[in-house]
Amino acid sequence: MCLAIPARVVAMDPAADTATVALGTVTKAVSLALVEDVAVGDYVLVHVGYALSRISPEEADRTLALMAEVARCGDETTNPAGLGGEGAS
Amino acid sequence: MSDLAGRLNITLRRYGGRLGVTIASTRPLAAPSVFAGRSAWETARRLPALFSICATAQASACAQTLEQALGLATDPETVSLRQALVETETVKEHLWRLLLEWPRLLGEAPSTAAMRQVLAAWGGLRSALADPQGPLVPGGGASGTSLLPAAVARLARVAETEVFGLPTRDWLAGTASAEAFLAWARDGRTGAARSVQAVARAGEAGLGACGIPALAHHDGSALAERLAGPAAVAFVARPDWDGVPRETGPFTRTRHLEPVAALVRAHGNGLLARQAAVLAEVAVLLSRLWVDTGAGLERASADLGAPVDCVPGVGIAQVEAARGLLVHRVELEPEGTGGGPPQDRLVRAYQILAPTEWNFHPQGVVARGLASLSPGVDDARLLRQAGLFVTLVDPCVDYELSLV
Repeated sequence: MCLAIPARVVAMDPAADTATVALGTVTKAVSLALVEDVAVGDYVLVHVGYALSRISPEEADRTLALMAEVARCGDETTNPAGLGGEGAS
Repeated sequence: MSDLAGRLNITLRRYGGRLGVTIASTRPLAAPSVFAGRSAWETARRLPALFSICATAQASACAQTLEQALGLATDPETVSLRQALVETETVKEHLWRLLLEWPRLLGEAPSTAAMRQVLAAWGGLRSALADPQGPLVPGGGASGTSLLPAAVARLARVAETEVFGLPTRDWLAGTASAEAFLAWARDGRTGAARSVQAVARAGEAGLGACGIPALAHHDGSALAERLAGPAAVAFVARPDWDGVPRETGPFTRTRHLEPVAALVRAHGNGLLARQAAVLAEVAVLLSRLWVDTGAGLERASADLGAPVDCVPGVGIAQVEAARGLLVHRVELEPEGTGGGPPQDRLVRAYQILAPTEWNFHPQGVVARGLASLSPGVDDARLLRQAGLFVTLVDPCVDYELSLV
């Protein structure tokens, strides 16, 4: 159940080995330390602040479409664990 | 952006000389339901792209559960290849923790160059596995696996140079007791060794020890019954067995192996035993994948391929993924509804029970382990200890740890 999000590289900072990636209107800085040969316009899979790998635009589109469906499912389904745990002490 | 993937919010709260722990999850647990209405083969193709962090374990579980639901026989060689691929993925995931997270928690720079090598090797293998005749497709074969030995060799080289500081076989032979393990750590040749040494030197070996039992091995029937029952949504979100939260993952798989068992006897199942568990699992898996020493992990594999008495059109699969037991269950529409060959049968319902829901249950091993930490230490130290414990159990999503 562990998702890595496809996002498009919109800017790069080679000195810092980071990129700005965009998903819709949301942008985020990610590390490029784990991938090679990434360029502006590429799609990368993003996980916990790192770009993991490049993927094709077609693959990114397919996965994002599926994730949009997941988001709609989430709107319709309650996640009991998301309501906050009663905790341990 | 992380909203889609969900996250865990772990909150520590001091009160009355004790520590309260709250774990809240926004993980998209209903995500597998997007496959309802899709064909069996489309599901097998697209599910691993969605759940891409442990894509190989997810693909393997998906292929197994669809094969079972469709009544397709699985070639033993394919079963064996799937297991090897999932174990390689487990090594890759553990190396992420060892090369990036352990150094960070120690205040050292992460070994990104080494992890880049790991991901390059893994990425090449994954690309080859997209072969439609490959082992991760229902009814598939051995196509696309020719890169597996080279990928394992590359992961082993990284582990030996960056984690163990010596050949894997020598590390296993040389750390067969608690004393030998600590002596390896004192040498401090790698970030992992220094991380272990830091825990031992700070007197933190037993921190986080708690009594949450291991998730026992079940036949698929018992799990299928829970997942088919009226409380299935709650079970997937907050699983328990016999009313008790359970732990599943590297520690439960290696707790009978040395030096993990000796460290548990000496310090309980706290930080030190859990560090040893991750290291031991990497070493044992690499040995089995590459050298085949015959060392064994405790796992449900003997049960995994066993036929489950499911009704036709229903399948369930259990796979030992990097972070613990991963369970998939599918219900297909009746034959004929989708028309045509088995791959066109439509999915009526798809469920996934992931290890993170067991381990990060609000009363589970992480909640109890963190609640056992001493609230008397300063904030920075408490958060460092808690962060290490969380990393050692290892959620598969981003998390925020806060002290209020």
